[in-house]
Amino acid sequence: MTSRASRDTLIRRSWYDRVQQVFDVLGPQVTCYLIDFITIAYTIVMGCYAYGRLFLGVESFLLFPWWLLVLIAAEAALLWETFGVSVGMQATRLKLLSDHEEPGVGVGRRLLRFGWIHATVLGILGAPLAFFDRQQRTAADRLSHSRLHRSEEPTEARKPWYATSAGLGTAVLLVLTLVTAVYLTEFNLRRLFTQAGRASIILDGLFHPDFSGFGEDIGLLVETIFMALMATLFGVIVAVPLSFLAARNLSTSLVGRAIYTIVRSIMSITRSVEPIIWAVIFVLWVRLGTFPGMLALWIHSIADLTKLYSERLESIDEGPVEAIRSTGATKLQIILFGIIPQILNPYLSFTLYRWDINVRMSVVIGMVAGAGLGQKLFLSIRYWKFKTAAPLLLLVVVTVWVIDYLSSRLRTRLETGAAGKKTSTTES
Amino acid sequence: MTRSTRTQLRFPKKRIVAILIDWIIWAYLSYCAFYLIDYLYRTFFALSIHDKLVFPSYGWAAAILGSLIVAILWENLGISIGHKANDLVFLDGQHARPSTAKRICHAFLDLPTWGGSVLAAALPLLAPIGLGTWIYNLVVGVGVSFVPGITLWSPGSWGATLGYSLLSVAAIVAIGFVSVFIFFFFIRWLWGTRTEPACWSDRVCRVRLLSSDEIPGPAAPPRRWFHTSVGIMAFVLVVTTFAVGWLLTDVDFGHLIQRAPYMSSMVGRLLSPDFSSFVKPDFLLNDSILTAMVETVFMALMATLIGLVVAFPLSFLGARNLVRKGPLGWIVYTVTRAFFNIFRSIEVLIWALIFAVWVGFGPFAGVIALAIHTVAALGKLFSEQVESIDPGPVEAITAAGGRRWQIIAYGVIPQVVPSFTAFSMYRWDINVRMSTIVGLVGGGGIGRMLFHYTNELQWERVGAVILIIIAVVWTMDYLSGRIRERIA
Repeated sequence: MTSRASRDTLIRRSWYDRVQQVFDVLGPQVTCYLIDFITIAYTIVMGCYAYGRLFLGVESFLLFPWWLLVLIAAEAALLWETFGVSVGMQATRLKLLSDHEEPGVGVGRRLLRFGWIHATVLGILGAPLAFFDRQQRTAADRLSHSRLHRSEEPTEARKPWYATSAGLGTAVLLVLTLVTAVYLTEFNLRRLFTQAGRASIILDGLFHPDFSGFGEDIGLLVETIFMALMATLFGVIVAVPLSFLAARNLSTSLVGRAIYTIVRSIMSITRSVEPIIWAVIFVLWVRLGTFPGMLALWIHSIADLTKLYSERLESIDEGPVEAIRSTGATKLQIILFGIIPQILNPYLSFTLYRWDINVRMSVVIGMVAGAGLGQKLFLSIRYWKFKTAAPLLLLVVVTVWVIDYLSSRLRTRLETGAAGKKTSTTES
Repeated sequence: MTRSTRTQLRFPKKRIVAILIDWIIWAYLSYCAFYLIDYLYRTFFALSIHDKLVFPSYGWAAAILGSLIVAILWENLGISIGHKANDLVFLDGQHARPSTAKRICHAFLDLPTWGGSVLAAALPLLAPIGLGTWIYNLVVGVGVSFVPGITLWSPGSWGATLGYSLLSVAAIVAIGFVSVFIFFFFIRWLWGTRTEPACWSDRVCRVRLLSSDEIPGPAAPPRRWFHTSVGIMAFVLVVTTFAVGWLLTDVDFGHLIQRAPYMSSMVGRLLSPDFSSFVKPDFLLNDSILTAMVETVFMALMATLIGLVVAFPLSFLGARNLVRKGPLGWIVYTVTRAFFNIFRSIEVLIWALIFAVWVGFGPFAGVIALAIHTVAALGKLFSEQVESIDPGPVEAITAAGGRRWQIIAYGVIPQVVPSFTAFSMYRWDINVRMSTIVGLVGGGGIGRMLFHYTNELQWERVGAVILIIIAVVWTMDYLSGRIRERIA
């Protein structure tokens, strides 16, 4: 190691290389410290909550001021890293090594290291010491003759989990998390059985379906399916042109790159808002009914399809595109004859997949938008009419099943069909 | 039925799929046409066909039969979508397109063939349906009748009941056997055998239905889409679907744009989020955004854990390569898979609705709902993964005389653990998303706050909640993505 370090100093490097090197060394160390800090702080918070709920009868995540938590977690993380092998060190594969040819680092040197890190981080006077020297070592590294070394093999591979401090720490964390989760979600399996009277009403209703309104139910089902269908069709109309703008390999110019970034980020935000929330917004915008449900699914479908489509566009084969470009074709011709034949089947397959999802969602959307099967299901369960709900649930299950089956069959057909066509063209 | 009959029987699968596709297309078109005509009547004459022109009681049957007839005509006189999808072509003895006379003759022969086949296929179905109805009526105590109006059994006369029910069961079994025989003989006579793979109408008209790779010589040049009936039909289907969908879902983009100015204020308020109750509990809800979000994440965690623990053992029962051969194994496999499929196809929100009634409003209902859906979804993914393992280690342990649990513990589990972990992380991701909305139906978590503020039209607070949700979902997405990358 020392030889490698001296070789590094022999080669003159530009400042950019040096900064790069410093970051290469610093990055894992900072990540390691952050992981340890978060782990310890999280454990303390969970411990406080569990202790408070179990022994004090208080529901609070912190039993002391927040700055104390930060201080404790910061100190504890540092202690853990200096004197043991922490979770962060395991995760980032860092290991504390001595500069000299000896197996480990002694307690004295570890103490020295601990102290010097404090001096460099806390004291303003010590701040210059925090900088790296030419061998990317901080003052603490130099003065304690040790450094955190990153290697490819795991830090502690041989030992079982209960023999390492990282394993024990993780176990404590998991147990505390579980305890907190049980209290926080009011988890109480007994309630499932003490409320069995209600369950018997529910099951009784579900097993004695009332088919008197079945004709109406079918009508509602048709409405729901069409809601999904229209959302998908409209979604395709908007998503196909957008996908060309959101493909990285097609937007090479500066303006293109800007459009790419804008479209991608808008779609990403749109997609992370659940369609239910979109439905709530559109109900206020338009009115109750199928249309706002359709709009909510539409917006979400556009975002989802644009992402899927543009990712497919980014992975097209450049060969045909180059061939057509070399004949002097215009941009439109390149898209028409070089790109579209490649993407047609995957696009259809993604559309089918999205339609499948939309049908599933449209039932739930109907609950909010007050349309289709979802509304009737919602009302009948809310008002304890489980006999009315049973045929609706049956219809939902059968529809989802059938559409799932059909779309997966068609999708495999599309994919194999595309493969078959490709082989036949190469043969001829 | 003897073994030889069964081996000789040629089940015309492609033909049946083709006619089913065409039949469904025409039935769908007739539904759409009826809907459009009804809509036109309602808009122009302010009356519905339903009121004026009463659809007779045999109307449904007539429409279904009519669409079957049209589908048969289409298959014979043109090239239908069903034939195109199954790669089938009608040819005569010289491998040329049959003459029009032949095709008309073939169509007329097909009508009774298909009609009779549909009836014959319905016969074996009718027997179990009848049996089921009678047993149901016996259990419920409505009474049993062969002919509507004449009740053979009324509650009270048990002696007669037993006799009648035994008799009816025997009758149903007999009918079932007879109908199955009729069905198979009918098919054998109509649809030919392995040695003579031509249908009755094909034999009479000297026409053959071949798949395109059986035809010698070069393939016909492709025609423009609007010159083929398939293309025209696909176009008509798309247009009618658009038209009916547009009317059925009340599409009104004008209204959407007209209301846009009113909505701009709402969007403005959404985009200026109010974080006043981020840490300080909201007075009405007695909950702050932070604690609600923590609760939501823990709901997802609990649901994923429960789902994992339950789905893990179940997935081995739902894997075809691990369950025992024989009827018992088949039953276990089918029941497990059916459980996965049924419970998966009911959305989390519907489960939450049911459990909110069962255990009361609160995060527990949400957790149970999420957990049930997770069990079904993970179970399906897991068991598919178990089915695709490398059989080598399993065979090696079996050969060494390992017991069943040893095979699973040392042959299967080591192979599936990485993908199981990846699937669980992926599911955890979905659960975080879902747990933010189960509050809508009383499932607790941040959804409760979200929908409360929406109902109160407090858009600044809604904006804050949505922002927090997006941030948390993104973070979880990123983290689980990183961890999955690490595992893979």
